[in-house]
Order: sequence, then structure tokens, then C-alpha cells
Amino acid sequence: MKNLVAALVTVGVTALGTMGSALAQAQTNCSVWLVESSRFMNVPFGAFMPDRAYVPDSTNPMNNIPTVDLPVNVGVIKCGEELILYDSGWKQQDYLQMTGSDHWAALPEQLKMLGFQADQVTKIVVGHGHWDHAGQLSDFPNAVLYIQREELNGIEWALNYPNDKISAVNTDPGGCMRTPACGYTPLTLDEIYGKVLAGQAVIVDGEMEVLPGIRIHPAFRAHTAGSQLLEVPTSIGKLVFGSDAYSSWEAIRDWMVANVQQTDSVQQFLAYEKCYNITGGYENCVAAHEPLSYTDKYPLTKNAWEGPNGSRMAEIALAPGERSRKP
Amino acid sequence: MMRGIRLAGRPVDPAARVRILLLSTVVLALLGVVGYALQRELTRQQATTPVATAVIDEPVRALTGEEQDYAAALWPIHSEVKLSAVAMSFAGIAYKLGEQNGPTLEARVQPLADSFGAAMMRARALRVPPSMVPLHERYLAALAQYENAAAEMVSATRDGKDAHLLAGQQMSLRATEDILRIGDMLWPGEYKPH
Repeated sequence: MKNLVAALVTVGVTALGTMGSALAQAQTNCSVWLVESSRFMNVPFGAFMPDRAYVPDSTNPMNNIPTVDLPVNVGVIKCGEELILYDSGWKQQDYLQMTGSDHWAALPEQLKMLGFQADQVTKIVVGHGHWDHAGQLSDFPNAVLYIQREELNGIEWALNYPNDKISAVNTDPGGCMRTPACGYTPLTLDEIYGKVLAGQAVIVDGEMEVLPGIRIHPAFRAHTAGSQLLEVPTSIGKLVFGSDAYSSWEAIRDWMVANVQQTDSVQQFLAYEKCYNITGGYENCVAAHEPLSYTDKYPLTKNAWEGPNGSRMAEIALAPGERSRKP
Repeated sequence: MMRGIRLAGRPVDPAARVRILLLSTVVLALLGVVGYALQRELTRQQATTPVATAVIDEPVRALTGEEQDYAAALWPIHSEVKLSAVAMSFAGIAYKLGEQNGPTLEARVQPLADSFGAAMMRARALRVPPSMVPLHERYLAALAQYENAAAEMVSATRDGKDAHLLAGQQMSLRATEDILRIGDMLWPGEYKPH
């Protein structure tokens, strides 16, 4: 009898293990790439990360780098038949040169290099609604936009706030970098409105599972009012995309604030903690503007190559059976 | 044996010839309509954006003193226009999400329409250096587009037709792209990394 019970327990445990493994398999079916929408050149390091402010003649590696080039990273996530973008970069057209930026490439062109067409994109989850993260929306005709209601509330709050120094768009050249909701340009709002009009917008309230295992986590005020993270299961473990809540990967690793702008630094740290909790560390946190992106110094993104117009792209994880897109 | 005319060395049935003639006539007529529409569209675009090429093709260069004065004078107007444009899109979003009804949308958009009109009046009163005239005209055209977009949104509150909202959004989008073009020339670095 004892032996029978032991055998049944063994069978049960094995069955559970198999089910768990199957479940894990079902949730680790995403392939992930990172593409650089553009690069902001020669940004003073201290403006990006106050703890890294340049001190002339300093030999301290924390403070001896005057400027950095900041990529604008976009996540490309393929889960079965679904193609998801996390953030959508921004659009540089013939007339919008964005002084100080380089290597801009159209996201549809970058996707082509990965073997995808723009009309295959089914979902765009924007980490927040700033112009350099929520652009190009109208170039993805079949994509449904996911944005937090709190993000929209934050814009409305700023629009209606009775102080003209606290406004929703740049009201002074270079002078509106740290006011609430600053960074929402007319073009970005128009494109979001276009998605709403087309019935292709999901207004998210907090946490949401967009596909099995693909989960949006709110990170309110970790950069903007309605910032959101995206958890993605892959063959190398879970990843968490953070947009500007995770502006710098080094900042997550070393617990420093980055890209403070409208950021509540405590909420940014809580967002970092969320990545540690979900992924078990800092290695799989995907940062939007990490200067070390596409190099060995940010290992997650080191499998990189050059894309259109000198932009860079990296292959982060492949689902079983997925072919490499690296040339 | 088949009867009829020969086409490419093979006999063709007379009925088939009639069908071919009819089909050719229809195709030619359709081509004519498409050609006319295309010409009309191009003509209309030229009429609404008369200085597009001049503005786009002009290389980025430092502004002269009087051009800087013009840019400085236009800036406060531009700042208000951008805020109004964002507010207009936002009003449309709130309406479509069911958070606001028609009367509320109208109450929000009508003042924005007025603000675009007022901005136009103020912009018209500016002293414009000759080199900036094409650009200035384009800015005024963008303001008119915004004003028309607002009018379309108000129309939607009256007959409930989304077509007005779609038309308005497209107008607003074109106006927005235009003021971006102009902004990139007058205020390079207007938008900072965020």
C-alpha cells in the first residue's frame, strides 16, 4: 500500500511537473529584439543622471565623462502570431531635424530588416506618451495602442492647471524640460487621438495581461503620471521593459535616478524594485536610453548589429523554433 | 471553324470585339476620372500649401537679426497655439472615450477655435521680414487648418457623425506637421529628449 501511495505521488508530481513545464513553455514563446529609433547626441551626463555629473579633472569614473549619446530604444516582441512594440520612438521627417539627434530611422524600415512588415504589428504598448516614445503610431495601421488612463489624466491635469509655467507642451525653447507633462507635443496627441478615433486604443487602468504571460504593470510617476512597464517571458527568463522609468540600465543596477524630468524618484526606485522582483535581478531590465546599449557593457543587448542610417539593433531572445534575424 | 476578325493572328468572335470595345471605353473613362481627380487634388494642394517646397528645401541656416526678432515675436503665439492644439486633440479623445458628451465637447472646442482665430489676428499683425514671408504664410495657413479642424469637431457634436471628427483630426495633423516644419527652422531644439 505504501508503495502504491509512493508511486501515485511520484506520478502526480511528475504530471504536475510536466504541466508546469508545458505552462512555462506556453509562456516562454516570445522572441525579443531591440531597435534604436534614433540617438540623442552629446547630452551632458549630469543632465541625464545627476549622480554622474561631470567634474573637470576628476579621476572618479562616476564623474569624468562630460557627455553621453542616448539611444531611443524600442522593443520588438513576437509572441506566436502577435507582433508587439513596446514604445514606438518618434518620427523625424524631412523637416524635423531635431537638433542634436542622429541615426534616426523609420521604424517600419527597421522592422523590415528584422523580416516584419508594419501592418503585422498588432499591439503597441507605450511606456508613456512623450513625443520620443509614442511617435509613428499612424504608420502601424493594424496596431492597437495600449496607454494608461492615468497618463491621459496627467496630461489633462497639466492642461488645466492655472499656472502657465506648468503646461503640457514645451512652452519655452529648452525651458520646459522638468515641468509636469512637458513633452506631449501636438503631433503625438494627434496620433494618439487618431488611434482612439479608429477604435484602436485600449485605455488601461493599472495592471493588465495583454496576452498570456505578457503583463502591463503600472509604474505611475516613475517617469510620467501614467508610466507603465511590460513583463515579457522569454527563453532567457522574464524581461521587463520600462521605457523612461528605466531610462538607464546602470541606474537600475546601481540604484541611481535617471532622466528625472517629471519623475518621482521614489516611484522610479519602486519601478526598479519591480524589475528585480519579476526577473530576479537587474540584468533583464530593458532600458530606453542606456548609453551602453548595444555593447558588451549592457550584456542583454550585446548581440547587436547596425541597421538603417547607422541605427543599431539587437537580438535579445529567440523563442524555440524562431530563426535569428541577425544578418 | 471559328468565325470573326483576327487578333494577333487568331480569329476573334464579333461579340467578343464588342465586349473589348466596351471594356476599353469603360477603362478609358475611368482613367479620365482618375486623371481629373489627381489633377484637381494636386491643384488644391498647391493652393493650400503654396510655399511648401520653398520651406522644406531651404537649408538650415542661422537667422539674421530681423529674422530672430520675427521668431521671438511669433514664439508666444506659437506657444499658445501648441497648447490649444494639444487641448483640442485631448478633447476629442475624451469625447470618443465617452468621458464627455457633445455639449461638453463643444464648450471645450469653441474657445479653442476662437483662440486659433485670435492667434491668426496677432500673427497677421507681426512685422515679417521679406525672407520670412513664405514661412509666415504657411504658419497662417496652419492656423486656418486648426480653426477648420475645430469647426469640424463642433459639427460632430451637432449631427453625431464621426466623419467630422476624422476630417478634423486629419486637418489638425496637417497643421501640426506644418508648425513642426516651421518650428524646426525658427526654434531649432524646440523639443528636447524626454
